[in-house]
Amino acid sequence: MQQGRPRPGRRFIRCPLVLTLMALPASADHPRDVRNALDGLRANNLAAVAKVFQKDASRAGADRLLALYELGGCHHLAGDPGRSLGFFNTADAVAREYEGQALISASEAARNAGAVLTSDAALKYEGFGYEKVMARTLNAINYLFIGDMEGARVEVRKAEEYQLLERERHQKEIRRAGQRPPQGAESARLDNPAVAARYGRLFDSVRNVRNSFENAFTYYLSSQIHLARGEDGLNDAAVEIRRAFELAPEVPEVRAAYLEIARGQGGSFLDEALAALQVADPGPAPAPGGASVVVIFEAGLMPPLEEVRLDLPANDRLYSLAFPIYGPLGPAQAPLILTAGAGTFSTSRVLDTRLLAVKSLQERMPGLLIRGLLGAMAKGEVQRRTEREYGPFAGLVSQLASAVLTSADRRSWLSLPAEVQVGVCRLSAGRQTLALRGPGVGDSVTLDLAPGSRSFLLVRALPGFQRIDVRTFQAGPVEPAAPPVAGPVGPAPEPAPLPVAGPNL
Amino acid sequence: MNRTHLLLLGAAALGLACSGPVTRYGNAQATETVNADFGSTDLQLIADKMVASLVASNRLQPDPADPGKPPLVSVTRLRNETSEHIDTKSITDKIRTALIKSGKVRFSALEMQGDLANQYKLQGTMADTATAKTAGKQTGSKYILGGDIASIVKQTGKVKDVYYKITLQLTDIESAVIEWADEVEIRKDSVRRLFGS
Repeated sequence: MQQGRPRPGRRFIRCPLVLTLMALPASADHPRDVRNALDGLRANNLAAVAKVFQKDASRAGADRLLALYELGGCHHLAGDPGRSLGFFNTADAVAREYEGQALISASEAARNAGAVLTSDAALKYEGFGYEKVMARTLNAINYLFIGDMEGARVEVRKAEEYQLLERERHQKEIRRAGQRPPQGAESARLDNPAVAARYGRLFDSVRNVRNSFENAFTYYLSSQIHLARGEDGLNDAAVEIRRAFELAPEVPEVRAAYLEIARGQGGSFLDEALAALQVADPGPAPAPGGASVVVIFEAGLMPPLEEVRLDLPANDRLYSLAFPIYGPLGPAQAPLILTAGAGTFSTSRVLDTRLLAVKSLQERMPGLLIRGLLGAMAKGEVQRRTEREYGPFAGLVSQLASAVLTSADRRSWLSLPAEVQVGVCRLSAGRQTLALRGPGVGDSVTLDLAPGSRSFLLVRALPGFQRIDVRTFQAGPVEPAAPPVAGPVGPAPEPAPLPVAGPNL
Repeated sequence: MNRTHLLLLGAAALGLACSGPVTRYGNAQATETVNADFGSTDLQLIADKMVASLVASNRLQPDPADPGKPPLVSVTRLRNETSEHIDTKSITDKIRTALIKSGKVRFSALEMQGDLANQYKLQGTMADTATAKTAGKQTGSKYILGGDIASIVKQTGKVKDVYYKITLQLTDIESAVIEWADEVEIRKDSVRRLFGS
C-alpha cells in the first residue's frame, strides 16, 4: 500500500456523495399517509388513524411535530376531543422545545448540512405560523367540548401569543427579504421571470390577505368563548371581536357579534363600533330569555403541496431547482342552512385556511429561493470535487443522484379544515330541533336550551364523513358544564351513520 | 481487527447498554429552572407567602354562630387567566393544607359534596338510625377564599419574559366584605442559548 494514500474503504467513506446519501431524509409520502388515516376515520377506526402516525409522533425524528398535528386533527374530526387535545398539547410542548433550542445546535448541524445538499425535507418540521395558531384554535374547541371553559380560554390566549410572536418573525423576514440576495444568487428573487411565471397567479390570489398567521376565526371564536361567561367576559370579548372585524369586516356574523358586544359595552366602544360598521343606530337588543347557538362548520381539508422545477442562473451556470407549490385550491364551500321552527339561519365563511397556506408560502418563498440556489451551487461544487477525485463515472453518479434526490419539501398539515364557516341561531329557550342541510351534511339535532345560554354546535364534513357535536354553557359565573378531565378520555362514542345530502365535496 | 476498531466496538456496546433514561430522586424544595413556565418552585413560593400573609393579618375571626372553634372557610377554584394550563387546584390545596396545619382555620369540604350526598343516601337506607348521618347538618362556612392567577408574556426571538400575578382574597360570606387580600408577583425570563447540543 502506498504511504500517504488513504485505504479504499476510507476514501469511500470520505466521498462527498456517500456523506450526502447518509444525510438523506427517510422516504415518505405524507399525502398518502393522510389519505390512509382519513379512510380509517370514515370507517370509524381511530386505531387505524393512530397507527399511520404513531411511530413518527412518539420518536424524536424530523416529522414528529407534523405527525402530532395530524393525530390531533384527525381525532378532532372524529369527535374525540379528549385524545385530540392530548396530541395538540404534546405538539405544543414539542414546538416550544424547538423554539427554545440553542441557535447553533450540534445535533442539528449535520441535519442542516445534509438539507443543503439534498432537500429541506431533511430538516426538522417546525410548523408554519398558521398551523401553530390553528392547532391552538382547534384545541380551544376541544376544551369547549369537554366542558372546560377555562381550558378553552387558555388556548385562545396561547393562540394570541403565537400570533404576536409570528408577527415579530414576519417583520424580520420582511426586512431580510428587502436585502439583496447573496453574491452569485442574484436570480433568487420573486420577480425573476421564471418564478413569476409559475407563482404569479397563485400569489395574486392572496394579495388581500394581510399575513399568514392572523385569522378572523380565531379572534371570533375567542370573543364567543368570552361571551359564554356573560358579563364577566364582555371586556375580553370586546378586544377580540374588534380584531376579528379588522380582518373580516364583511362577514355578517362578525358584524353582528361586534354590534352585540358594543351594545353591552356602551359608551365610546359603542360609538366606535357604530362608526366602523357604518350604522346609525344599534337597534333593539334581543328579547331577554332567549338562547344563542353558535355554529362552527369545518368543511373540507387542506390541499397537499405539489412540486415545480425552476431553472435559475448563477455564476454562468443554470441550475434546476425544486420548489413547493399549490395546485388548484378547490372551490369555496356552500353555506350550511339551519332551520328551527319558522326561523332559517345560514353560515358565512370566516376563514379560508388554504389562503393562509398560500400566503405562508409567499412569505417563505424569498428564503426558499436563496437557500435552494445556494444549495444547488454547493451541490455543483460537490459534483466537481467528486469527479476530480474519483473519476468521471463517480461524477456522473453524483450528478444523477443529485438530480434524483433534490426534491421540494412538500410537508404540511393536511387534516386542517380547508374552510371554517360560522353562524349564530337566536332561539327561544326550551326544547328546539335544528335541521341542518349543506355540502355533505344532512341531519337534525335536538337541544334543550336554558334562558341566557350559549351553545356551540360543531359540524365537520368531508366527502363520505360528517360529525355533529353540541355543548351548552350557561352565561354567568364561570362554571364548566361538565367536570374537566386531566388528559385523553376513553374512546369516542360511535357517530351514527348518516346519509350524505347535497353534492359531494 | 485493530485496537481502534476494538475501542469503537466497546464504546458502541457501552452506549447500547446505557441507552435507557437515568432516574434519580431530587429535592422537592430545590429551585426548578427548567424553563420559564409555571413550575413547582412558583407553587411553593405562592403558598408560603399567602399563608404567612393571611395568618399574620389577624383577620380570621371566630364565627359567633360556631363559637370556640377556628372559623370555617370554603375554598373556590383559583381562576386561571394565563396562557398556560396550570393546575390551580394544587395551589389551593397547598394553601389549605398549610392553613389547617397552622390551626387558625378549618376548611369545608366543598368539593366532596357529591360524595357526601351519596353517603347521606346510603346511610339513610343502610346504616343504623342511631349512627346514620343525615343531610341538613353541615356547618355553614364563615368565609370564602378565592382569587385568580394572571400572566403577561413578552417574547422576542431569543428572550422570553413571563410575569405572574396571583391574587387571593378572603370574603365574609354573610356581609360580603373582603376581609383580607394579598398578591404575589413572580417574574421569570429565559434566554435562548447561542450554542448547545
